[in-house]
Amino acid sequence: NPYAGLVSHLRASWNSGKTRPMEYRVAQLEALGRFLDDKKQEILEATELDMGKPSFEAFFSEILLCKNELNVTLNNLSHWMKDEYVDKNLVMQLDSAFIRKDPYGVVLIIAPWNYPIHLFLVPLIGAIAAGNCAIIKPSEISKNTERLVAETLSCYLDSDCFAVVTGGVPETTRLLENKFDYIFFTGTPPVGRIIMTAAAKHLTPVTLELGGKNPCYVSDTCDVTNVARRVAWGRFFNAGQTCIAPDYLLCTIEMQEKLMPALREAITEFFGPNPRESPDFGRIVSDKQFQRLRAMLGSGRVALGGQTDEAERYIAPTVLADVLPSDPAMQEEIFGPILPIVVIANMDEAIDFINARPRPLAVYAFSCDSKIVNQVLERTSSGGFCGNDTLMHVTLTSLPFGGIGNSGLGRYHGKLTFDTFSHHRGCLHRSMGLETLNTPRYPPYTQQKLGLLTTTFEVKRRGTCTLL
Amino acid sequence: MERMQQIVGRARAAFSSGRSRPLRFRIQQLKALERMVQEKEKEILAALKADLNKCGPNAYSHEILGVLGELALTMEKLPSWAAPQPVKKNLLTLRDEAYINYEPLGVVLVIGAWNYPFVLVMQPLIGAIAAGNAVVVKPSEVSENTARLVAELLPQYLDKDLYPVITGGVPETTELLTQRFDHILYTGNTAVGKIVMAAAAKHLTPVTLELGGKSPCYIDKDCDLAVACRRITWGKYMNCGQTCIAPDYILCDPSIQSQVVENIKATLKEFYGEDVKSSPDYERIVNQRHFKRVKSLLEGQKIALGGESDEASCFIAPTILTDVSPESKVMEEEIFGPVLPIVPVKSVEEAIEFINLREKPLALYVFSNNKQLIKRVISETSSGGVTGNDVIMHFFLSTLPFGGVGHSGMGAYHGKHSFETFSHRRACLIKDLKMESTNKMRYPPGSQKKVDW
Repeated sequence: NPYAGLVSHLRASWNSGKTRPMEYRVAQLEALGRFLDDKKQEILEATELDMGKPSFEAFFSEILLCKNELNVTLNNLSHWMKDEYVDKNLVMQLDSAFIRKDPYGVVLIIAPWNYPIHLFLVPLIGAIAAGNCAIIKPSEISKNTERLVAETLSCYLDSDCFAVVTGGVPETTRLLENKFDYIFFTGTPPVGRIIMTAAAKHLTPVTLELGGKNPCYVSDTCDVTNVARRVAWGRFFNAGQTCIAPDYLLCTIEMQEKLMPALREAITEFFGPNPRESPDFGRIVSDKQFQRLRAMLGSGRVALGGQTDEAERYIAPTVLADVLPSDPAMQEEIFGPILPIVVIANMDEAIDFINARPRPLAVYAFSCDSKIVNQVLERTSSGGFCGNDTLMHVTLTSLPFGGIGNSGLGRYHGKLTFDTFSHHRGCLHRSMGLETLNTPRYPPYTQQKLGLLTTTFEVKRRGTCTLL
Repeated sequence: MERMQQIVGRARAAFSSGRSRPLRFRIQQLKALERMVQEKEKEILAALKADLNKCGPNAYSHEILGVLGELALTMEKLPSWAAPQPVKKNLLTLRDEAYINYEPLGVVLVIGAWNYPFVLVMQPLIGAIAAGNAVVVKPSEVSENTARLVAELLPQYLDKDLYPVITGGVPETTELLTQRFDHILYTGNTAVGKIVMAAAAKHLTPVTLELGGKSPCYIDKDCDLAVACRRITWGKYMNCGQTCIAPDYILCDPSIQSQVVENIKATLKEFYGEDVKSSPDYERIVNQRHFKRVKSLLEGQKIALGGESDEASCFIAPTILTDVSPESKVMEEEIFGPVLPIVPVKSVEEAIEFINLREKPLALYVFSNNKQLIKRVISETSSGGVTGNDVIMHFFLSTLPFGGVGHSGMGAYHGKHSFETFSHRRACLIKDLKMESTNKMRYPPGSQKKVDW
């Protein structure tokens, strides 16, 4: 077990209790903030090398959003850490009843390659805030960022309590042999299953942030220009390599007609006449992903884009029209700059289409008619939902971010990240006095005692009449 | 075995029909459950007597009272629990609607345990119904009378397709676990907990595991020993020790060990009379297998009190062991019987170290007049839950989440926590299709000007 030494070192630090005082947690969190400030340029460069991430995007997702989470946490940490006092029943009126937020211990955070800083750093913020030690396992696929994190994070964080482990599948498999007190994984459903199965051996609780095909329904009553912009923005951000990107469009054939010129205009507005030359459009992270995506271009017909360049791993912002459910582009999460449009007759058909498939991370619905947006919301199930826009629901730290079914379990962001990495321990602190009040619960059991217990313990529905 | 697939399939189809979702339907089903408990009280008590030799008032207070309370609370609060919860918005979303929508997960599986066979099936069921799910109920086959009764009664009062009961043992449960569920709540032991989680992993099903462990009970020298021992006696020997949150073993200074024994002895007489075996209030071990298991824990131990047993009736007297060695068998596994080992420790530091060397327990108990000492024990250890200066009682406050940590489990329920366990909290952001100008900031082409804003 090659990582046993590392894990037990962290566990010893954990047992020493040093990660628990608030001052320690604040110091580590502030150090993370300095990491983001000091290494901003390196982060933009590394992510550009890894997947051609435009610096505007990288700043937004890898720096700005992370700093927001950091500041929300630092602003509220003392409040979140406090014991939460709860309402008491009659019998416990003189007792102290509260929920303690205990750290779990040594946690493992496994991050993917698409937002390689954000997707380890935001969970790490919660893990540190909650008082844990952590091992961070960045993705080997975004290898420049991996190297940056492995080389520099230890200059900022306490290396007795926080460590970075690098490597691929074999290394992660060996790492998982160790017992962790929590595992936070962002990645694909098949690997999610492997992680949860490994966690089951140690009864380790998990959060799995997975993915799926996020449907985007566009009704016939809508402002086509705005829809096209918002959908194009969400689809082509990070060259489509976003777990909550609108994966495919559902609309009527008339709407498909109307959308096409609007989408063309949006793409041109964003990336110019030749997106390959735009500094604002990314690249595919690896050859393997590039081949996978290129194979999808045969689905339906290429209405917009479709150009590729293997050397650069460039795939143009592409819209495929008249795509069939059986086409390759509809068989798996696309995770690239390709937007298939599947034609349906009406909203009911769109809802049935969505519900016949595994529950996605996000559902999107566009309509000027709020009733339609609400119908799609109410009649489908997904991790999250955004009406009349894409991606934006995850930028609000007060909303839970997570999946359901195949798209994941657990959720985080804002306070919820702190909660994810805390054990909520129910505590009742009673007084040693007033022992006579306990008599009804003790044997010998009698009907009379039972009557007393019933009166004191019972919860009555409002409006029910009790005549003694 | 195809039968299992059909039953779960029917539940799923029933859920997909949408009929379990309206609040009115959920409350109607909960009301029906309430009627069931009230109308069939006699039958429920009889089943509990047959399974665990629990007498009427005892069974009522432990298994029925709590259920009725949970039902009343849930029916009362459901509209407010289920209401969409608006969240704090930022500058960019000020004009939008942002809220958390509480939605059912789908088809939930509840696997009960045999020691409190009625309440451990009913309490999760109440929460799952309240959250709008279909629920497959699998009571423990070990408490066979209660299992049979639940299988008979539920279809008489509840929607048959949405809330099926499946009976059977290990083979049936194994088969059941191959089906896809949207949440599994399992109450039982650690070993099976691992099996349940591994099965759930195949479908990425979230789980709540209510397991067990050795719940330590530290008695400080500075405390009212008589009161402490009375409370401990109650919690330890109720249900013949077969309680997941029973104080499993005692840690105390050697100088008070014999006093503890004397106090418990006196309390036992008060509770059960001179002849425990003939007290109607003292239960029995659930079956031969557990009887043998618990009895074997006494081998080689110093028995300060009790130790008598009768295999034919699965009777084991309330027993105390003193000067128990940490390495002995009785200190290895959860006792789940009326045997109370006392492990002497010289200080609270030693007690805390002792506790922390072991797996995290479901409950932790500490008795002391010194509030600071209690705070210290709590903050330097970890456990599912805690009661200070008493035992068991944190279970009865539904505003406290009830669950384990580490080997004692994951997730929690009771009261609103049940509703949340069985709900999906869906993030919803509803924007306007107009007001596009505020979006322009985020669109390419990117520029330093935009970033600086």
